[in-house]
Order: sequence, then C-alpha cells, then structure tokens
Amino acid sequence: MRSVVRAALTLALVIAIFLALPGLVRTVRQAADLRRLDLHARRAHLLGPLYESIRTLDRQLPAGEPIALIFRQPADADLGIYANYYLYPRPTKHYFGVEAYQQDPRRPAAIGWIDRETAWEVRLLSEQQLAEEASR
Amino acid sequence: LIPALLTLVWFPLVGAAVSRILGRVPFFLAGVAASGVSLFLLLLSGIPLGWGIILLAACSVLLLLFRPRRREEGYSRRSDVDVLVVVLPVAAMLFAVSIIPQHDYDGTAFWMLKAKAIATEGAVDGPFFRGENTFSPRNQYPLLLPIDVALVMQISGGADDLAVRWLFPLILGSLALEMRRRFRLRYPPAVATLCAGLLVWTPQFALKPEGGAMSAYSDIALAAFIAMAFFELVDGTSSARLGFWTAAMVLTKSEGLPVALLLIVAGVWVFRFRIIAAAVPLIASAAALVVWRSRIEITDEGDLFGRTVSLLPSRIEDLLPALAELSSYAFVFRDWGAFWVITAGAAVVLMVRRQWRPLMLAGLVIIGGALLYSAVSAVSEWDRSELLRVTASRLLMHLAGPALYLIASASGATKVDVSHLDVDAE
Repeated sequence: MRSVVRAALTLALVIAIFLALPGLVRTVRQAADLRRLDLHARRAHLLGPLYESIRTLDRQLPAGEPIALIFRQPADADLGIYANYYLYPRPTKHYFGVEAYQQDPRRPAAIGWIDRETAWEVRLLSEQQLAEEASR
Repeated sequence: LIPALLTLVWFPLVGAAVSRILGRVPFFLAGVAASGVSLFLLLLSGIPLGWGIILLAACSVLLLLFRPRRREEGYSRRSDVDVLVVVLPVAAMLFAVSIIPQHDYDGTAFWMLKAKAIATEGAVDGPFFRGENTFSPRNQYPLLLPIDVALVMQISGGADDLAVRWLFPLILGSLALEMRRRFRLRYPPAVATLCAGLLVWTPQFALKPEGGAMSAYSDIALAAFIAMAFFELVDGTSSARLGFWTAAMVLTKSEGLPVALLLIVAGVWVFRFRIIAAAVPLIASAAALVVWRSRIEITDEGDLFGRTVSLLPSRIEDLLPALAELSSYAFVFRDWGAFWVITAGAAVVLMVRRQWRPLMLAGLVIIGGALLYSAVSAVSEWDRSELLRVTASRLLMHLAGPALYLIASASGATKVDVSHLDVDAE
C-alpha cells in the first residue's frame, strides 16, 4: 500500500511540474527581456497607459499636493485604488461621480479623472474639463 | 541587491535569536514571524519603526551572544542533491521577482500600499491608517507582512517594491525546506523530498498571481505559520512554540485567528495543561489587534469573525453548500494538479490502516479550517459563489501543511521516534 501511495505522490509531483514549468519558464523569459529596461519602463511595459498616466500626472503636480480621483462609474474605483499605490505619499481623495466631488467643501483642487470605458488611465483635468465630462 | 541581501540576513538572524529562547525553529520563517509580531507591538506602543528595528536588532544580537544554543537533536544538516527539486523553482522565482516589478492587484493595492505607508510614516496608526490622507482598502487587515516589508524598505532606505519582492518566494522556499527536514526525521528521505517538491511546484503556490509566491499576498506566510503550528501539535513537545506560531498567524491575516483557535483546541488534547504557554501569546496578539483596530478607520470590511458567529445559526442551511463549493476548488486541475486528490487518497489509506493520530490531527485542521471558511462565505454580504471564486484557492493554500503531513504519513513508515526531542523547550 505504501509503495502505491509513493507512486501516486511521485505522479502528483510530475503533474505539478508539468503544469507549473511552462509558466515558470515564461516568467523567467519575461524577466530576462525586461532586464534591459529601466524600472519605470518595466512598469510601463507591465501596466501600460495606467502607469504612464500616473507618472505624468505626478510630475505635473507639485510634490505633496492632494488630488481628487473621480470615477465615472463605480467600477472605475478599482483603477483608482490601484493608482493610490503609485501616487502615495501624495494625498488622494476618492469620489464616485462629479456631483460627489462638487458637493465636497474640502475637495482637492487637482482632479484625476478615471473612466476606463474611454481609457485605462488617470487624466489630469481642469474644473472646466470636468464639467464637460460630466455633461457628456 | 542590498535589500535582497538584507532579506537574506535580517530574518535568519532574528530567527536564530528566537531559537535561543524557543529551541529548534526554521530561522527564516521564525525571523519573519518574530520581526512582524514584535515590531507590531512596538509600533502600537508608540515606538517609531526606525527605533523598533534598532531595538529588535539589539535584542537579537544580545540573545545570540549571551544565551547558549539549545540542544538540537534530530537536526539534520545533511543536504542531498534531491534538494534541487525545491531550490531550482525558488531560484527561478527569485530571479524573476528581482527584475519584474510588483503588479498583482491585491498585492499592490492592498498589501504593498500598507507597507509603503508604514515605511513612510514609521507608524501603524498614523494619518494613513486613520484614513486622513488616502483611501486604504481593507484598512483593518493584520499587518505582519506589510511590517516585514516596511522593515526592509526602511533599512534599505527606499520604498520601492522591487527591493522587497524576494521575501515572498523565500517564505515558500523556507517552508518547503523545513517540511523536507521535518519529514526526513520521520519518513524515508524520498517521501520528504517529494512532499516538499509538491508544495513548491503546485501552480497555486508557484505561479498564481492571486496568492502565489511571486505576488505580494500574505497567504503563503499564513500557510507557513499554520504548518509550523501544526507540526508543533504533531511533535507535541513545545506548547510555547505553538503559541509563537499562532500569535504570528493572528497578525498575518484575518483568517489566522479562527484557525489559531482551532489549533489551540487541538493543542488541549496534545499538551493538556501545558497549552497555557500557547494561549498566552495568542491572546496577547489578538488583544493587540483589537487595540490597533480601535485606533484606526475601519473601511470596507466589517468584523468578519463577529458577523459569522452571530449570523451563522440563522444561515446554517447554507454551510454545507458553501463547503461543497469551497471543496470543488481543490480539484481545479490547472491550480492544484493532483495535490488534493492525493490528500484525499492518503486519508483513505490512513483510515484503512487505522492510523488515527495523523488522521485526527490533520483532519481536524483541514476539515475544521474548511468549515470555518465556508461559514464565513455562507454569511457574507457578497454573493457566495463570487466570493469563493476569488478566495477559495487561496484559502485552501492555508491548509497545505496538514495536507502534506497526511500524504507523508500514508507514504512512509515512521523512521525515527522524535517525540522525545526538545523536551526542555518548555
């Protein structure tokens, strides 16, 4: 009985290796390819326009200035939460919709607009551009 | 490179110091647990992270210099070529994470953000956790791993995630090597290596972006601490070590507390009155967690534990369907291969052979853990199927240690009686 279990254990390990090896090789190859790039280029490669837009926005605003992240749809909050990580330690405040932002007396002046139906990015908008987005 | 080397030096150093108090422990895992628990307590007492790190380093060095090494019978330093089955995939993961930046969603948006905040603010109850400067999702999640990550960030002088990614594959590798070492004491070496290899090669551990060793989730750390605590039950020699690991579980993930309680209940059977030595650190870490939560903003998830206890009686009919749904994820071939199939087979073999002790111990933790997780999903505000779709495979990871013990017990005869080891560890 023990030898049967050991054979089954060996088979289970072979199956696991068979399942994991291609993915592991793919990941190692990806790492080897990304090695030539600097850190920001690697992130841009992995995250696409979202990361690029966050970096652009971060460079355009003075250090430490708070930013409002406004979501067109509730589902856009996922991108906003993800963006928090790259924006930190810059203070951020989240708003579900333009109205919520406009009604907040303590709203940050800088506006990051997230509408992933249009693009997977955070767009820096002026109040006027925000009003135009809201009226669409 | 410096943060990677720090990860390799700091945690084993602290773990070695822990071994001077508790006896034989895997240095790396014990270092991860002890650093997280002690820094959490220090931060909670108002000591800033930087000073906490200095204090912890000083205590570790003093312990290593002045407290004699404990007796370590049964500690096999022999390392054969078969260890490559563990070392090679972990080396591949380390290579990959040293180049590819962090990008899995939960790991980045939840866990790494907390680490970055702790490293930046030097506190666990500063503006970030009070919800004053940014939205922190799952703000009340336990902080052991983010504190360990913040520690490496703080010492290395940066807050970049690439610098700290080694920690996660090293936890998996350390768990696998410790399992291999422990199993070699009881079972034939081939069985020990096969079990350790199965752990690191199973895609859910090796590859999955949600919870795998190349993500920044806390599930592998919790699986490691549960496994260590479980092995203390199996050995039955040190309830203090059981307490140490359960305290780390509580501060690693919300699921840690109920599973820790389960292990303590099983520990009453094994340790009798000596279980008090295990209960004290567990109660202390649970109390610390409660105090911390009273100081911070609770964001998007309420008191899961309390909710489950209060609502379960009225939804008891949902428990078994939830358990069946959770269990079905154990047989998703692309994530688990034959891991849980062979675990089930091993349980049957042990039953036929009437080997009740391993069956009872592992069964209590696996079935008890699965029931606890099913209960939480049964009373959740979320759609149950959706909740299990995103969590079930990760929850099953927590139970891998007891499962591999079941497999090893069914695969090999007990080679050495280790029950006499470290009897002075109490």
